Amino acid sequence: MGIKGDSIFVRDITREEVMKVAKTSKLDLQGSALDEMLESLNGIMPHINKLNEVDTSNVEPFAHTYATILSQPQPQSQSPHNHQDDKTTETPRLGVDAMLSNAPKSQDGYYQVPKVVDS
Amino acid sequence: MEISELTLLELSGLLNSKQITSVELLNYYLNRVKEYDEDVRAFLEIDAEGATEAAQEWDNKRANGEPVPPFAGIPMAVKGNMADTRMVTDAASQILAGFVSPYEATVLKRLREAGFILFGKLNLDEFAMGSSTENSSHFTTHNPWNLDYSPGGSSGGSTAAVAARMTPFALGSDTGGSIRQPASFCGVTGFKPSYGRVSRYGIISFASTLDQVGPITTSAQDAAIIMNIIGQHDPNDSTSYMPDTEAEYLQGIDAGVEGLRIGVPKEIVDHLAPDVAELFSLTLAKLEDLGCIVEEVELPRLELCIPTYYVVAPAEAAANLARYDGIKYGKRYESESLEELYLKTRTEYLGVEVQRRIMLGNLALSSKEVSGDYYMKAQKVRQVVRQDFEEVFKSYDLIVAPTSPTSPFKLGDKTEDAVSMYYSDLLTLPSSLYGGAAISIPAGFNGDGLPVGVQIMGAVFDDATVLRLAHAYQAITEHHTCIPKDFS
Repeated sequence: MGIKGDSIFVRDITREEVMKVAKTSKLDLQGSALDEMLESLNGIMPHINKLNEVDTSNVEPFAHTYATILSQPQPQSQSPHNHQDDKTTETPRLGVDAMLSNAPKSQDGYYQVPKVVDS
Repeated sequence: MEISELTLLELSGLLNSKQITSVELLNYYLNRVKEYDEDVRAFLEIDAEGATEAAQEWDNKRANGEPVPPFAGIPMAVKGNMADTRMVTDAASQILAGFVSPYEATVLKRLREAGFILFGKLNLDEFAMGSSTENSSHFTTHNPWNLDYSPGGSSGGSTAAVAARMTPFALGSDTGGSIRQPASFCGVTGFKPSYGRVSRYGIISFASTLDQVGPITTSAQDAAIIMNIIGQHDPNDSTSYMPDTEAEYLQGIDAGVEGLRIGVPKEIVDHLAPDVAELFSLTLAKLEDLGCIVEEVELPRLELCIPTYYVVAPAEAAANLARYDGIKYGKRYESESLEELYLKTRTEYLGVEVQRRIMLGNLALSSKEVSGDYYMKAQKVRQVVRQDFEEVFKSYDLIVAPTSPTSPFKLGDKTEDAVSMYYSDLLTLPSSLYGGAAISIPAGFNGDGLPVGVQIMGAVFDDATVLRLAHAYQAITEHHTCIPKDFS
């Protein structure tokens, strides 16, 4: 079939790449957990390569289900995205206490975290 | 007739004619949970006190002759990723252990206002990621038709609870099949509305362009009743479909299906297990008996739904799950530094499958410079898939296929192999990707007495036609009324 325009390059990923993505994901993968993740991701990658079977160079990416509806002419009142009718609405505020009620650690109305700036 | 065999309309009739009180009805279901859930393990939490209080209030109103909504006093249970303000909403993840939401999901608010009484939260795969409910951080749910088997997932707690009639109905959520596949495995009716029909406000996000809430019931008519309440526009959800201010799902459900044109994708044949194929052909014959015109259609790119979904869903999940950092809610792994706190909290308290999807998602999102943009490529293929389906819907009213290529699998059978688990979603992924409505209804039982479901898919926002065919099929079959013998 050959690679067509707009294709992606899919290959086995390396241990180093997994470590880099883990860092981005704020996951601390080491030793066997890292090995298992590497193996598992490399099991999935060949399937992702199948996306290359479709030439999508002239295709707009899918954005929303509404696109189907919006492509058809319709009266203003029926428009699913009737921005003219958008209004600022007052959402009831929950308050600091409610928001902090699930915090693992809080003090004086604030979330508490370890020190982030060295003196 | 046993209460467990009654539809929502029949239960409503009993309550309104004062043949039963809401407290009695609630106790009936609480007793069933007590009797059966030790084996099934569908429920994460029960709020007997809050539910009894609500039931008592409706009973008082009825006794005093005050006007009440038609379904006032009927109990319900929902998947554990939907926020109520009394019970824990942890999405079966350790990272949200003990989280009680300060606000209520729109769907729960609407159902509460319509008189339904929330009495329990149901098990799921962690953050709704899985097809067997084995990824729950709490425990595994069992299939009431055979406890050695999986109820499917991720809404396995919801479908198992309905199958064992421990609740008259439940809510589930569906991102790539999480209502329909477990509905098929448990022999119940599971409806995924068109994307945008039901508010996602207060539902723990997995993949924002795919997630939809829907009813899990014992009939298509009950599903339509619930949809009339939850399938309406919500200003709190910007993806909610604007014209849905008074959307109607129940009216016309009886209108019949003669002359409806049904497409059956010919590509599915190679993927079906023999028991599923056999029951599926019987279903097609029934649809012809109903006067439908059943024809083969071509969807040559059907299989591409799998790689498309396994880029789009993890990429969106990686973004959505970045919020779980041990600061604002849930569990925290205490550490000296903030960076270590993030790392240890997420690594310790997110499950393996969730971590895998976050990794896959971030890999896809960070591929751009070296390997091309995986997410954009997948969204383009998704567009092509949508166009393929749109083309079919120009000539056909509905598409029908089995819900799952296989009948239920045993617990433990597929957990080791992520890719084979992903493939079990092949037939449910398309309508999630193009955004249309789809329902799984019971189509019979295989040689081992396990249920097999059939799926009806509709065009975007044509939810009513999907429900109409499901209702017509259920009017001439009895599979949906069957209750597992140990629970009847």
